[in-house]
Amino acid sequence: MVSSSLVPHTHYGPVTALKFIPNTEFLIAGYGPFIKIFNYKTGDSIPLSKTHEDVKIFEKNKIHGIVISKPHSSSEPTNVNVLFYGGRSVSVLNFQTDILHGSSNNRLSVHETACNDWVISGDFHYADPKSIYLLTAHNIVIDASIVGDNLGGLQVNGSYNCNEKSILYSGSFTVLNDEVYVFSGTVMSGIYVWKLGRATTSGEVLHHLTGHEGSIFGIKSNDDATLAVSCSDDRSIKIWDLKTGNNIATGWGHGARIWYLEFFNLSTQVMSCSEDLTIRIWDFDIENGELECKKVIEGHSGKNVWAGAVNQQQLIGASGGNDGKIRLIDLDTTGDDTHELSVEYLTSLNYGKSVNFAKNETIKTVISGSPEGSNNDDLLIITSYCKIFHVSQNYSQVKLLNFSHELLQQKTITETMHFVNNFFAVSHIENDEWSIMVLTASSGYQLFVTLDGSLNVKDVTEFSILDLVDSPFSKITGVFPISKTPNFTYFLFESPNPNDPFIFIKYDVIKLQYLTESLTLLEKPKTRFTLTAYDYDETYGYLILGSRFVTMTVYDLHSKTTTNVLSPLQTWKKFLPGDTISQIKVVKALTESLLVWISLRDGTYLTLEISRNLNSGDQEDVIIQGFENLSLTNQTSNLKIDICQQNRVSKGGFLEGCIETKSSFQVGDRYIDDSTNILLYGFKSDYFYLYNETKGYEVWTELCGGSHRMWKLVYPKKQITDDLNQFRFYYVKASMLVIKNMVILPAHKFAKDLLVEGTHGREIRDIAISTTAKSVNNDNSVIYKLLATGSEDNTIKISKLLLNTNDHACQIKNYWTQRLHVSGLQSLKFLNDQYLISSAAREEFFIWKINDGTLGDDSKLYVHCYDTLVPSVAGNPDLRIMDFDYLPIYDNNNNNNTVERSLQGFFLCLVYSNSFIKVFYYDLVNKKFHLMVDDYYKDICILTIKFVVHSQKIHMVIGATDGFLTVYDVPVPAGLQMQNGNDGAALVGEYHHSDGAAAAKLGRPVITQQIHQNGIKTMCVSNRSESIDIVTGGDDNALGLFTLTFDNNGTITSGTIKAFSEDAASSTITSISPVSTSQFLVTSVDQVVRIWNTVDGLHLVDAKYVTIADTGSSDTTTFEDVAGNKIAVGAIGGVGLSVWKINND
Amino acid sequence: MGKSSKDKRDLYYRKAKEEGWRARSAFKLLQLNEQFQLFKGVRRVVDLCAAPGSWSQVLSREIYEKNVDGESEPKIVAVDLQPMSPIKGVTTLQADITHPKTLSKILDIFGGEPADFICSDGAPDVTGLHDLDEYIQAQLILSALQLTTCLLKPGGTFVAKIFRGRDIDLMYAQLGYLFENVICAKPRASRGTSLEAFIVCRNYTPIPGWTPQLKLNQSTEEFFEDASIARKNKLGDKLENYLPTEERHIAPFVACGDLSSYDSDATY
Ligand SMILES: C[S@@+](CC[C@H](N)C(=O)[O-])C[C@H]1O[C@@H](n2cnc3c(N)ncnc32)[C@H](O)[C@@H]1O
Repeated sequence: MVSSSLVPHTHYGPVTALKFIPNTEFLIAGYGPFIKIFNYKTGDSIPLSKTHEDVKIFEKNKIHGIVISKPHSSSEPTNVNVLFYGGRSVSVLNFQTDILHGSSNNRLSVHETACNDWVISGDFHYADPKSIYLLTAHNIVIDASIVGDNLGGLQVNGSYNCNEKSILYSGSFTVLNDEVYVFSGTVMSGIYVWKLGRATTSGEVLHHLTGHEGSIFGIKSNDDATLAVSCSDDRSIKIWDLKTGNNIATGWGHGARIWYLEFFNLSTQVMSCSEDLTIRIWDFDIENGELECKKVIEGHSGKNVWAGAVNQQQLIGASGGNDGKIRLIDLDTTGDDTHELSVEYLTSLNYGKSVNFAKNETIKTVISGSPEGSNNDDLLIITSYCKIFHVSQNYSQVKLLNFSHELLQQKTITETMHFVNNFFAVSHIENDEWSIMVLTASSGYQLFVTLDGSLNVKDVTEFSILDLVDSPFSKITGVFPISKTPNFTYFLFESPNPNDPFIFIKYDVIKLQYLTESLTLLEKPKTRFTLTAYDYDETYGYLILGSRFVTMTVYDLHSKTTTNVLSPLQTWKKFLPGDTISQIKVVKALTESLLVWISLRDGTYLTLEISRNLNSGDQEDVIIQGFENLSLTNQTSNLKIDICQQNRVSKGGFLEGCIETKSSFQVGDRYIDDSTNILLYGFKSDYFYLYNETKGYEVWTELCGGSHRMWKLVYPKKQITDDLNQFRFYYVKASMLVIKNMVILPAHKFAKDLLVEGTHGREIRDIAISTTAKSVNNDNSVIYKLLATGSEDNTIKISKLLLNTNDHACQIKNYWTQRLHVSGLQSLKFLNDQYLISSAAREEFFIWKINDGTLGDDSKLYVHCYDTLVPSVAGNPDLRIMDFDYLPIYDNNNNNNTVERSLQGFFLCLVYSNSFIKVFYYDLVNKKFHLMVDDYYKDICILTIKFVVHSQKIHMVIGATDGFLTVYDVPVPAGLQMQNGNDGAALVGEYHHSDGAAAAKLGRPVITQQIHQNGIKTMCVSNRSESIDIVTGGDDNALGLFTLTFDNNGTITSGTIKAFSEDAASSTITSISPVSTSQFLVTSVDQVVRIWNTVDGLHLVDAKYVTIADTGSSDTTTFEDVAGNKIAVGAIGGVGLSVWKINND
Repeated sequence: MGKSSKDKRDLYYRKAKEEGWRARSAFKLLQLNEQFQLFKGVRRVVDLCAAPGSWSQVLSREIYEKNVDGESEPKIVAVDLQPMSPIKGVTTLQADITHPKTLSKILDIFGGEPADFICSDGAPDVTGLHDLDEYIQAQLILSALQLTTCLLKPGGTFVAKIFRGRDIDLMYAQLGYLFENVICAKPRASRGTSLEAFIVCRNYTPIPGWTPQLKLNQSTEEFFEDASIARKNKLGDKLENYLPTEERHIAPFVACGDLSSYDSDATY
């Protein structure tokens, strides 16, 4: 009998504790029972085991607290002892010898000792790193010491109590030279502050702090125990004077429970982390008794931020979430790189020469190079009356530019009112050595001002663009430069009159002149069109313009003939629900198409593939409304559009655009540089935000007052790496120009603001792994399969499950988070490597299309919703699709070759919480669901369904809350043949669904058999040649093995319970995944993962504790390395995700 | 334990409204009783964590109102952190059951006479830290057990809500020291998607040679220190090395409530 064993490999889950080691660059993170060590300065994770496995401190218990002893000497800051506690477990280890150098065997948990009760807090003795205090959940302090190493346990020196043994939710110590203070946060009766007496057992209550409502979730004092800070169920933060016991300040702001609190900066500030997913920095003013929230950082997703830490010397904060993310925060709020320039300021610095400003004259706009590269960071500031100031890089020098150009001066003066009330555009063309500023008046009159490297005026030329246009043109209200090469820039001019065309023209930056032959007049679309976004692609000559009401138009400038008038090639009106298109950006040109990024101000963003429609006839506007139909092409359109990526920003507010950045990561000993991050920016209420959509955290915010102000975001045009500091944000507020240099990464402090990416912040309900392995580097050194996880947080994450074929290190790296579902995910299945199917509560059922490397050569995954099944019952939000299964249907052009044959569609079976059973034929090519079977079981909820295929017959097996397994026959439609491939059963042939056909009933079940006492939660089917095994897992802790036998025609002859293990687990069995035809990986809520063998009954092969709570899902797969070794891997999900190797002995 | 909108659509919720129960939980106790005849011969009951009071209503109806022979006045005491509106024949007490003072108050009410049946449907506010939630839940059960050892007559029954999390097998092992028969029962009125179940512990057998003594300044852990109930709780001279071999046991599972009764997972 083959018996497999389970080896834990990598774990992604809640961060339960964090601690900086003083005077070093190390940060310790507790991930449940495991630790990870980081160098916070470089952002690197320190490998603790050669095989890249996680290192365990405790066998099962989670680390809830980490305490560092004082160093033996200041020259050896890493020679410190570390106290870990969590649950009833305690361990004291030396950081240098045990953790950094001693853990390669991955067995640090041999040092774990057990306390007699839950440990709430712990600390070291004042001068003895071998002695510790532990505070238990019944408010008792235990004093214990290590003898030798702690392999033989910890010796108990005594215990203390203060006569109040109520249950605690929180607590802490402050150990001073001569006193030990204990702070106890109770469930019902406030906070006790007590100190240890001279004799063991004694304790004196100093204060009983009442004033909070509900349970106390945090209480901590400052270093000298003069102040304490606390929080409770009531969501407030209170500061207490420990001399008097008075509550001296209270701060409100968090929207949910607070889990971490710490004083810093000489007790003048407090950091807090909360269930509301924010980290807050508070200023505490002891004089006035005020606690004011200074900064809110939204660093996490899902639910809860459990852990926090403060590096007091460096003023760095760290937060750790239920989502597994670790976020670093610069706690120094004083050094903010902000500059506020007013008109008065400009004149005061103008070489002592005063400038005459008109009343109401304010700063209108600013011109600057991108912060990258250009050796000049000077600015040009333009006032509403067209005065131009040059401001030096450090804002210390200001000069009013004085062009010796009469015309401008005159025009400025004569047309002052005109400028102010209308529009005055400034464009800026940049080159390595010089830059050109273009000032355009609404009359079409333009000045090209060439500036040298120090932004001194070198040359001024003038031009009138309207002189080139014969036809009448009202006025210019918008000028949009499009820079594609250093030598040329295109200009697009807009007028408010719908009858005026757009003017498009090329400008030669070297010769400083327009190429007049390039002038093109673009007729506006027939629909109302106000330009809000644009981009131009030179490869295909497509100029893409966006407007309000999700309206977009494309001009083909390569099709320009002798007349210089062009009409739109194609216009799409309201092609999605939503309002303004806020950004259009050509991503890249593919061989026959163009990839274009589009953001809508209301938060949707998409990537479109635009190509010629080969069947096109006469051009006609395409109007598409509603979401169900994503096809943006009709028979008569010139262009074909495919949505290849669509999502909604998680942030809300107004989405203005996106920036892509690159980052790299490591899988075992290999370094991979292929991860694209999407940074979205926009406004939410009063804030401007920069949000890393890929990794799911807020990078930066600025309280600027909202999007109605003049604002500009400047960033490098070159590809940006994770080094995000080169952003600058300008806005005008209260007639001041505010310049914000976004100091995202204070380089002297840390190099990455997100140390760990993490995963879902809520329970993972299902996992699916794709079948085909692909190579990352083209050399097979790192291979991967796609891994999808669906969570209670309503999102689907599509990741790569990566395997280093050299050291077999495994890693999960998220590439995409899809947010279209609005309820908790229920099931996920890969149809093949291109399609993923998902269902969520509230009858949501989506088919996703994934482009992995098929759109150009990059590693980005493009994911969009290909189709959705319309809910069967309108308005019943409680009706859930409980499970589904599918049978692929391939065309028969390509015999057995599973790779070459093409998928035409699939049969889909669904079961519902109201007992419905439905079978559909889904036509993948024409995107159509055809209902074939519509039936129901009996008045109860069906939990699970599987197609079972045997000798040319199709059956369906369902498991319901009554513990019965029921088998139905499904007639095989004519023309289809059954085939068993590597990737499971499939149908091959031509299938045509006749549209008129009414949905059939299932008829009587072939078999109904009670297997479990109540709900059959999960099933796994194993095809053997003679028979089919169905392994069932129940809510009754049991596992069943049910075998179906068949005659030669594939008719079921019997169904027998071959084996039943009634205590297969001590809790609900939640998932079963195949390891081989006779071995199965089984998860259950008791947090034990087991392997069962089904040869001659049910035999337990291996059982291991899994640290993921609410264990509810799994999937398995097998990789093959270059040498042909098979590496079986299992992924287990719950509150977190863990990866296991399954070894076959 | 607030009512989510999901509860409101639930058939049991509607049925409870119709039949005048304060919570749908009533059906859980009724289904447990159907299976185990919990109320047979029972006259003196403690209902712990009882608010809003549907279990007390069931107890009042089944024990107080059906008390026809009237040989002795039945006694039902209901305790909760939350206030409860009065129920006929039920003495209510607003208190924390993890506090030893509460237990001695209950003992006072019973005036030295034993109870026949003790039940607890208690559940703490969920924090989301699964291990902490499990610990607090276990503390509620231990407090109830503390009362049980002081008040329950030998042979009596104890029923308590559990969540079948990771250490539930440890709890089963502990209960095995106090009761002859321990079963994990799941009424059909509990949702299949919830981890909630009930331990039904029958035939209370006091631990030989151990006299439970309630002291006001004593924690639950200390109370059970000298009673050998599977887990070592006494603080000794040493914090021992972690023992993964703590006694564990899986209690038999029984689904109760008629298969024809309503399915709490179904959408009707
Ligand atoms: C599910 S409800 C009980 C419902 C009740 N059986 C009924 O049928 O109406 C759980 C109760 O446990 C109570 N509870 C939680 N912790 C408690 C404690 N330490 N002491 C007393 N009651 C507690 C809560 O206040 C809550 O009312």
